[in-house]
Amino acid sequence: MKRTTKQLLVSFMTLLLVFVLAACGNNSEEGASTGEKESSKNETRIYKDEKGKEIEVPAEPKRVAMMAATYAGNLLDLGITPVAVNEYPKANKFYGNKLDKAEVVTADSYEKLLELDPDLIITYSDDKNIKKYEEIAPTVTMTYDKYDYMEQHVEIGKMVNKEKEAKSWVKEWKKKAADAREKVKSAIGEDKTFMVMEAYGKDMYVYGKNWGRGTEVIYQALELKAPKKLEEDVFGPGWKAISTEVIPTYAGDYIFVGSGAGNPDNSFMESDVWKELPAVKNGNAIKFDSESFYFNDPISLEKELDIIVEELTKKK
Amino acid sequence: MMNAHQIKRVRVTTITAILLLIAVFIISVATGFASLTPSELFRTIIGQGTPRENLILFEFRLPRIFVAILAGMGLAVSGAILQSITKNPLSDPGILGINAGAGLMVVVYIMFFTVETTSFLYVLPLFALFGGMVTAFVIYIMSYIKGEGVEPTRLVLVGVGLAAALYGATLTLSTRLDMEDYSFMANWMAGRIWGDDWTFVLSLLPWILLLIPYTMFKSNVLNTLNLHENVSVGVGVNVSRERISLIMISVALASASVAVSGGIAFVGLMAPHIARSLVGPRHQVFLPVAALIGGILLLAADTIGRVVLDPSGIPAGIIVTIIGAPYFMYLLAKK
Amino acid sequence: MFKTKTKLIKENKVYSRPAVGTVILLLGFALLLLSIVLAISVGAAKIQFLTVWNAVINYDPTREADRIIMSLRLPRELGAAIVGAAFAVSGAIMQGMTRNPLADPGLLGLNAGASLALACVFAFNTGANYLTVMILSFIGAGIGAMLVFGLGSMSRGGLTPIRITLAGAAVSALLSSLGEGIALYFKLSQDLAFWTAGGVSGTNWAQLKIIVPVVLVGIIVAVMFSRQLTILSFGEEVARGLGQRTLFTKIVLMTVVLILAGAAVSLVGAIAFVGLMVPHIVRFLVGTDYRWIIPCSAIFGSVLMVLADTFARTVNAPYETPVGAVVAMIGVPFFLYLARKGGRKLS
Repeated sequence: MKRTTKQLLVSFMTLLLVFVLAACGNNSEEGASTGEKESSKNETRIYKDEKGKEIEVPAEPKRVAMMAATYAGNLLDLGITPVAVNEYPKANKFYGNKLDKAEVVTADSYEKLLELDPDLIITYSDDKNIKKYEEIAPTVTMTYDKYDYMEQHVEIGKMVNKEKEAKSWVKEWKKKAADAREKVKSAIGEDKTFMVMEAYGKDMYVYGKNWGRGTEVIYQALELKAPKKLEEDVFGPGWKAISTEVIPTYAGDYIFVGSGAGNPDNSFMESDVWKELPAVKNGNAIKFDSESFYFNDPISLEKELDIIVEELTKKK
Repeated sequence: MMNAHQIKRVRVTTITAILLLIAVFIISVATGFASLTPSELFRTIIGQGTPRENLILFEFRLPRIFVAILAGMGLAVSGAILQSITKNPLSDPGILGINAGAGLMVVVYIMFFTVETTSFLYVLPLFALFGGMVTAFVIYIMSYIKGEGVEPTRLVLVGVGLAAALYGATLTLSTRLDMEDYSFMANWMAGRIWGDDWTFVLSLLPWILLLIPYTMFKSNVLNTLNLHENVSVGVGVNVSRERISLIMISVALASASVAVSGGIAFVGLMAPHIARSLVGPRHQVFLPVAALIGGILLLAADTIGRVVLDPSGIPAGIIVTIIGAPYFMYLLAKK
Repeated sequence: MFKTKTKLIKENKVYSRPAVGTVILLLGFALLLLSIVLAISVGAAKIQFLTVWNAVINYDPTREADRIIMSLRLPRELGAAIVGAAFAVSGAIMQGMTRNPLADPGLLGLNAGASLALACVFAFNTGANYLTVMILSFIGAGIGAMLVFGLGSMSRGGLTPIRITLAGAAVSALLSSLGEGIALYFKLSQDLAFWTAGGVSGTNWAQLKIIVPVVLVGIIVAVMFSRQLTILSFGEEVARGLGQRTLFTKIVLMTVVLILAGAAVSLVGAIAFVGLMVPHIVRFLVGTDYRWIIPCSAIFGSVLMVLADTFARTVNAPYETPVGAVVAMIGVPFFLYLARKGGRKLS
């Protein structure tokens, strides 16, 4: 009897050792690739979230689980490859193979999350599983539309103790945006209007100035204008479902249209209503890949900026 | 009443069912994405586990397992009552529109109330319970005709129709939800055991502990009701009153179960059938067996659903339906 | 032979009212035209009544109103009309064949089968063209129907209405569960729901070119067999006694039902209750002779769908309310009424 217990203990210790070794292996690998120096797991600091709640988080989080769909790119840009993401960022072509090592974890597969042994979990403040996450690792949350896309990046920077890096990206981005702004202005002038839309199911969606899909680049970074009606109706709520019939009312001189998901045929593009829009007639309807443009993190934004500027300037 | 052979058969069946439930329980506890060896498992159970093991066992797996067992039992007994009372061996609480009504209330809740992380755990099951009970009540009223009472066939027909309609309404509302909420909703409807917290075990337990023994206590009434009406009247059972109170118990059991387990159909149909074919129609012996089988079925379905098709798994309700619907058809063809 | 037939018809109280039927048919047609014009003139973009007429007669693509009418609203309303006719006629045929007043493609597993096919299309072949979608919908509806009726006929004691309804419920549960499983696994559940909720919006001429001939042929075949259907609705023994080749008739009619239901689902997704309600209303008006019931059902099914779609479009504009919900709102009380009234006779 005693002997069995001993055997169990030994086997357990071996297992634990393997586990720890494996974890260390991972850590050092990542440390090497990002050029960060090792820090012990015990070191912590206090992160104050948007509601003023103080949470004890690792000083230098290494294994971050990103349960919010839209922030994975922010982490990548800060040099941290999340250990867990949900399925949406995996579909973003802008990330290339950067997320290949990140595991897909759906909202309620806690066990898988636990096995990935995260030291920090980041999610939206309305996630239904926060309680369970908190049992696995320190969990910090933020509300999606509380910050603009630059503040959002800085806030995530604070979460993972890379505020400086985040701020320097913002500075650089502002410079880059100003250059792009000049380029676009000289190519198409100042008075053009823009619309961003997507077909989903059998409805059309029009987006405001902070709802991903390139809107941050178009309306904020490039400071391009929206048609008046669009600005009045859509900028407030952020997005709006419209009938195909009223596309002309919201259409700008340029239309960015998502390839959309959830519709086997994009038949509205075959209709005369679409074909006769001034933007379409003038060749100013620009298609984008919805699954990638959905995001508004630095990596996606820079790619979006490149694509948008190229589309707007290539004619002249 | 029963000869020695029958008594033996009942005893063997009951013990086998208990052993089977324990076996499925152990398998379920031991399977999952995180590995937990039998020795680790044993150590955790006796309170010597690491924090990680404790978390896996006590916070992630056990609550969900208990919810699955309890809900399976509740649904099985609920189905057994319905089948006996309506004298229709094809009755299932799902047919009474309880799933559909509860589902509608779930979507209404998600739509109109902010899903605040802590309170929603407690309020949502109440909404679902309410939805299920109101629906059952409406179906009962709709199939009541003065002078004739509630005729079982009509009850089933009204239930099927109303369920179809409620399902349509749910679909309509759910297209207004955002991606995260919708996915929660769709999974709820498909019967993913979502109540994976001790709170849910505790909120379901009293219903099961009170109502199942009470039903067993009423076994003789159920035996008589299952016979012809005039016989029941002849032996002095107040038919309509007993029937109403038993239907209410059935509805309460099903609603409470569905409220924490999600929309699960066919357990209430299959479990009583299997039990009846094993130990015969006397409620004293067949109700406990039915409850056990219900627990086994739902737990097995959830365990399978949990481990196949990584990362999201398959909702238990879908697995139960894939097994249950053909079984139902077989019964229909055989009858 | 003729004598017996008359006698039988009298016994079964077939009453047909040709005069009423003709009037109803004409009135219904006028009503359909009127409701289509009405439907076209109301909507998110305001359009004058006269403009509608003008656009149809004298289409000028440079005018915005004309474009909206011709490329969005007219195809949409025609789509609604054709779908309504298809559901209503398939419901009428099923009610006659099964002698089940509660028969409806939505309740008998056809719609669930077609939806399962749709889920597969969404999951495995996003680039599928409409014809493929429609053919797969037929196959799906066919599987659903075969299961329900196979099951019903396998069982001892034959196809009682209650048994068919139960078989339909079980088959529907199975097929939609499989569909939901596929949809959840491929993260398509919401896409599918949105697609179904979208109803007839987004119908285009290319789709109409395929579906209109299919549905029209289906309805014409149904009308050609309507006399046999009337006889069949007395019961199989009676029909056989009158020398009808019941198996042949049943196969033809069932094929028509599958084609109609499959075509309708491929355009709008599963919508229940149209096929249930319309034949009942029509039967109340023109009697129990299917020679009148079928054409009248087609017309009134169209009217119902066009009006329901218009209501769905305008009640909460600019959002579109799913048309299936509007139909269910009218259909459920109707179903409950029928179940209450007919429950006794059904078992």
